[in-house]
Amino acid sequence: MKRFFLLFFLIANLFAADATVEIIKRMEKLPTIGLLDSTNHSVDNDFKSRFFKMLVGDLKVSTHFNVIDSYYKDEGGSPNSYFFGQNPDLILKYSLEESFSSEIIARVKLIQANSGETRFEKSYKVSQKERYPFLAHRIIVELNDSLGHPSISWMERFIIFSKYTNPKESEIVIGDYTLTFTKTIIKGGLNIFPKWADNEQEGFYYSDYNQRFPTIYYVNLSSGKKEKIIHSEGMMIVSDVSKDSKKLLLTMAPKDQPDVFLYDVSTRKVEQVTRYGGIDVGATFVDDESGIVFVSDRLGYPNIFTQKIGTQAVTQMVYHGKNNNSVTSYDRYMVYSSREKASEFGAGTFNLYLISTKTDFIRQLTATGKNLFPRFSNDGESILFIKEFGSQSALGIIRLGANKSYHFPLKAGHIQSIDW
Amino acid sequence: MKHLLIASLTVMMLVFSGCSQKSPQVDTTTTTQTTSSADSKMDSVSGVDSTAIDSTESTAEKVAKLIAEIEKNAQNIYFDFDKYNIREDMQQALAANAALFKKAEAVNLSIKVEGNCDEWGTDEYNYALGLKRAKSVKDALIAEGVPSDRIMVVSYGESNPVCSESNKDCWAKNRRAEFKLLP
Repeated sequence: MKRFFLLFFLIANLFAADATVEIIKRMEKLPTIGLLDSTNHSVDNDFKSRFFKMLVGDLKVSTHFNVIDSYYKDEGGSPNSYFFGQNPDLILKYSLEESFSSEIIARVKLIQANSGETRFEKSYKVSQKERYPFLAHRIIVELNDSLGHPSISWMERFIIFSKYTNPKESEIVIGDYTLTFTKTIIKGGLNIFPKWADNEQEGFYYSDYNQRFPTIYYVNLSSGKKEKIIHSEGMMIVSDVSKDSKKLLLTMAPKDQPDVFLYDVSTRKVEQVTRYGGIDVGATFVDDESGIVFVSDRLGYPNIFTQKIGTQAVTQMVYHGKNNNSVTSYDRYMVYSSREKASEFGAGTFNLYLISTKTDFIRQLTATGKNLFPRFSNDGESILFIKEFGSQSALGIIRLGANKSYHFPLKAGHIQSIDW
Repeated sequence: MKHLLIASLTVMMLVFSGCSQKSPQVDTTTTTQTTSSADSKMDSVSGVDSTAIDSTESTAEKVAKLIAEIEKNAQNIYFDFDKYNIREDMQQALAANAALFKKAEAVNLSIKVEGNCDEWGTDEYNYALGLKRAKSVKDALIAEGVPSDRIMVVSYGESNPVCSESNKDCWAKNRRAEFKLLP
């Protein structure tokens, strides 16, 4: 065993500069946590069950805990007595209250199981019952912070997505990352490719395909005001937004030819970045926004390329697969989706792969099914993607650090695109 | 604006106010911490305003009839998997469409070529593939003598299937260019 760990340590150090391998080193013992519900009979059992499952789900998806997923109702006595034989390190004791106005209050207390010491204690509230997922996410994000684990604040971010409802019809929806809470923002006709306009998620861009020309609109989420940004013949999509929100990468086709363009939000100036007679789409910023990675069919099939903005020379980034049609980047890492050859899993399998731009390391992130539209989280620690099962689709989250994947099915409709 | 839903004009209740500490279930004793609200993000969400967008709808009944007739007779152009070149077996349909669009009574109508894809492509690339299909058809119509300024192209990617079954015949039906006439 010692030899194994020594070998493992040496291999890990050999690639220590590359996060695609670094993650393996983090396999340390996780604290075991159990939950104890002290809610009284005034709250209905169905809600208690849903809230418990949401807390358990968040704890699991954080990948920072081993979670005891048995439900225990607090009947008095020592918290430890409920977890006989399960040996939790931590016990999350909580109670819920519901007001007449449907406000939900949660009081939580994190107890060190062996000493009975209180590690964390706080009250939370949410004004409408249906928003309970955000209440649970807030509790787990802060509980996680209190223990000094890497932040999981992404759990509190909105997911924005477009879902097909009928031919040429889609809706733009925001929701929590589990899609338990969703709210339709735009409805009627074909409205696709929503993209957050800023890191604070105060507004978003989307493509309106209901007019003579595909048109980009900006919508301020709090005021509801929308503003026409730019239109183009053929197609018009916001592919990426710069960190300072001042520049956009667009795919548009003013001369019927899909190419990548750079748009300055304040001056409204448009600069053509790629010039190729085939297909150039889906660009994202790389190298401190001095360059782009994008999808192009310049080799006769879709593949991933990079180009410095202001030059025309392109570099092929991926030498694996013959149909790599979507890419996301974070720092010097990229994740792309690749259509596999026919396999035992059937034709039409799409898998996600992680590569470093500095090494030739490739890590396969998914194994089966259609895994599409990868998007890095804003901390680079997770990948959000669309997972399709037959006619149903789900939101997938890969926690890169723990090499774990989670799926959250959409109840109705088919996800077209996502952003978070 | 008719394409937008005013999803919710009511700004949701602000809930940063403190909460009572009377619950005995969790023995929080005399904590002085402020109750944390998880509403802050949701409270900032409003509806989307309904600014009017110019309608391009034609009112002339005669023109509408003509458009309906031409659209009914125009033949879809089908494509091979992942390809955007016009197949040999589609040349005749294309020539027939060109003749239809060049008829004297139709010369004032614009032609919108809509490119469509099957479900096997993904995201932006699929929309671009649909556009290249529409562009191939536009170029072929120009070669058949239809003026280029009458033709516009748009891609609907995989959003506009005519067949939703999961088999090869169905996917082949979805890989197509369709024609819409505009006054």
